[in-house]
Amino acid sequence: MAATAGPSTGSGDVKAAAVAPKVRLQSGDKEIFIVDLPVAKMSKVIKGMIEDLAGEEDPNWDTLEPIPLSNVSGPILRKVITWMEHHYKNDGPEPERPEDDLSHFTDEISDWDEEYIKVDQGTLFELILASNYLNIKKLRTVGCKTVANVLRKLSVEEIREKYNIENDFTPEEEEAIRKENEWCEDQDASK
Amino acid sequence: MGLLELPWDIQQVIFSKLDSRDRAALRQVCQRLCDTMDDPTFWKSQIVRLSSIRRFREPMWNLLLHRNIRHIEVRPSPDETLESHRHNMVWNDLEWEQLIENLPGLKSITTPLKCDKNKGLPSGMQELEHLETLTAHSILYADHSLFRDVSRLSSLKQLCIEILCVDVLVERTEALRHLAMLRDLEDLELTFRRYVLLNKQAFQYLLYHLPKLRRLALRRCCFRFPDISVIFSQPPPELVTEAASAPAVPEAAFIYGQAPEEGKPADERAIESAEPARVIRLNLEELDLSGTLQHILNDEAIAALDTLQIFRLQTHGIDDDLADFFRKCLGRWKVLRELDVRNADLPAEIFRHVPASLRIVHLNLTYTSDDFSVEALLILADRCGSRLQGLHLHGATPKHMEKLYYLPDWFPRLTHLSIEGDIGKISREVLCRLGELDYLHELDVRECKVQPGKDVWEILASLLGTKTRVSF
Repeated sequence: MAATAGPSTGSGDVKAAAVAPKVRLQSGDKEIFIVDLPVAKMSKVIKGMIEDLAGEEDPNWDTLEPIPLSNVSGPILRKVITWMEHHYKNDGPEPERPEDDLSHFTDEISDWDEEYIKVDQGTLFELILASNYLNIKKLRTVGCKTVANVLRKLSVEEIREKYNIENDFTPEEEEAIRKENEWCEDQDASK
Repeated sequence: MGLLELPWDIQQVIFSKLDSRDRAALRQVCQRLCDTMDDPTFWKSQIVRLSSIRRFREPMWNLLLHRNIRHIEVRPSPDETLESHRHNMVWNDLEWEQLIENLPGLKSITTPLKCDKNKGLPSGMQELEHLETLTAHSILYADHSLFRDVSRLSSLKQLCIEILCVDVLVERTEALRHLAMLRDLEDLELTFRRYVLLNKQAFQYLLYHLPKLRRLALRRCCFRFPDISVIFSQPPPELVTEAASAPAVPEAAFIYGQAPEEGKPADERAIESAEPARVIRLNLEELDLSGTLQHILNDEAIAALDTLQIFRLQTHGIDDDLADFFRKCLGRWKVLRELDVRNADLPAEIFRHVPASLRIVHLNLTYTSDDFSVEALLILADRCGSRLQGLHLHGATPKHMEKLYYLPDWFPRLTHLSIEGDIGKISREVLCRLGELDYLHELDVRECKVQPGKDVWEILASLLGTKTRVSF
C-alpha cells in the first residue's frame, strides 16, 4: 500500500519505505495541515469524511481535496494534531491489561496529557469543543476531567469570578439554597 | 465561551465527574447552575442518605422528587456507620407513608427495620412496587407477617435481611416459604445475630421456587438436621412428585442423577418449561455459608453446585472433615473464581486442588502453622500464580510480612491486595518489592491491628504511583 503513495527513492531509510499516505486538513481559517492518514483517522469524523471522499478504491492522496474542518480554528487544530500524533505513536493498538476489565486505569490523566492540557481557560474549552466535534473521545475526556478538577477546588465565589457568572439569586433564594445544601451534606460523598 | 455555553452533552460529562458535595457548591453559584445540578442525570445512581425524614419539609421533598432519586440509605445520624448503628439497636422515625408517597419509584433501600411482632413491614412499604433491592437490618421479629409483606414486593431482585432476635423464628422457618412468590429474586442473604435453628424443608422449598436465584448467603444459621446437603442436591419431595407426573418435563430423570455437564442444558430447559417458577436443579453462582454450622456437603450436593463461581466459608472452630470436603469440592468446581476460607484451618496441600479458573483468594495465615501458610502461598503460586488477581491475607504477622517480599514473583498480576493482622514493623525491602506489582490498583491495610506508621504506607503509595489506591 505504501508503495503506491509515491516512488521509492531507495534511500534505505526504513521509515521512508513504510511512509504512510498523508491527508490535508483545512481549518476554519483556511490553514492547511498535512497529517499521516492513520493519525487523522483517530478522529472518527475525519475517518468518516476520508472514507466518503476516497470511496472504495485507493485514491491518489496528493490530489485529494483538503478536508474542510470549518468549526476548528488553525491554532486549535494544530494542538489537536499534536495530541493525536503523540497518542498514535505512544499508545499501542490495545494496551495490555489483565483479563478483567480495568478501565479505571485508562481513566487517569497521563503525565503527558496533564502537561498538554495546561492551557488557558478559553483554549481548554475550545479543545473540548474541537474534540467533541471531531469525535475524539479520549481527548474530550481529558478536557472534561480537567475542568471538573478545577471546579472541585474552587469556592462558590471563585467559580463566579473565574467563569464570569453573575449571581442572580435574591438573598432569600440564596439562603434557601444554602439550607437545601445543608441537607446535601447528609449525603454520601462517594461517587 | 463560558462554562454555561458549552453544549449540554459536554456539561453532562464534566458534571458527572463531580460528587454530590461539589455539585452542592455549584448550586449556589447561579440560578442556571442550580437547575443544572438538580438534573436527574447526575442523581440516578446516587445513594441518598437520610437520617431522619422528620427534619424535612416540603422543599426537601420537592428536591428529592425533582432529582428523581432512586436509591436511599437510612441511618440515624450522618456520621454513624452502618456497623456502629447495628450495635445500638436504634431504629428510625421514618414516616414511610410520606416517603413512599413522595418517592414512588424507589429502586433500593438500606434501612434498619424494627418489625414488631405480627406487624410485618411498616405500613406504606408494601406499596414500593419498583423496589429491586431491600437491605434491612436490626430486625426484631422475623415472622409470617414480615415475610408475607416482603413477598409482596414483586420487583425484588436482591433481598438481604439481618435478624437480631430469633426466638420467634425457631420452628417457624415455614414463614420463609412466602418468599417463593418473589419470582425475580437473584440474590438472597439471611444473617442472624445468634445461632438459629432453621427448618430444612421450608428452605429447600424456597430455593427450588426461585428460578433466577444466583447468590445465596446463609450466615450463622444452623439446621435441625445435621446434613443440609439435600437442600442443594435435590428439590423437595412434593416438587419431585409433581415434576415426575408431568409429562412435559422429561428431564425429571436428572433430579436424582449427578447431572454435571450434560445436566446443564437440562436445567435450562427446565427453566423455560411450562412452570417457570420452579426449578429442579439450582444454578447458583455464589454460595456463602459463613458461620453456618453443618456446612460439610456430601458428594451429591458438591456435584449439584458445580456452577459455583464464588464460595465463602468462614468457619469457626476445628472441623475434622473440612480438609476432605475442600479437596472434593475444589476438584469438582471447575468455574470457581473466588474462594474465601479466611477462618478455615486447612492444610496447605488443599491448594493443590484449586481449579485453574481461580482468580481471588481470601486466606488466613494464622490457622495453618507458619510453614504451612507460606507453603500454601507457594502452592497457590504454582497452580494459578500468574492469573491470580485478588489476594486477601488475614492474620498476617511480621514473619509473614517478610515473605511478602516474594509476592511480585509469585503473583505478578495482582490487582487487589489486602493484609490484616499484626504486621508491626514492615521492612523497607519488603515495601519496595510491593511497588513492583504493576497491575495493583488497590492495597488495603486498614484492618491491621498494629500499623507500622503512616509514613511507611505513604512511601509505598508513592512507589506504586497514581494507579493504585492505598487505604491505611
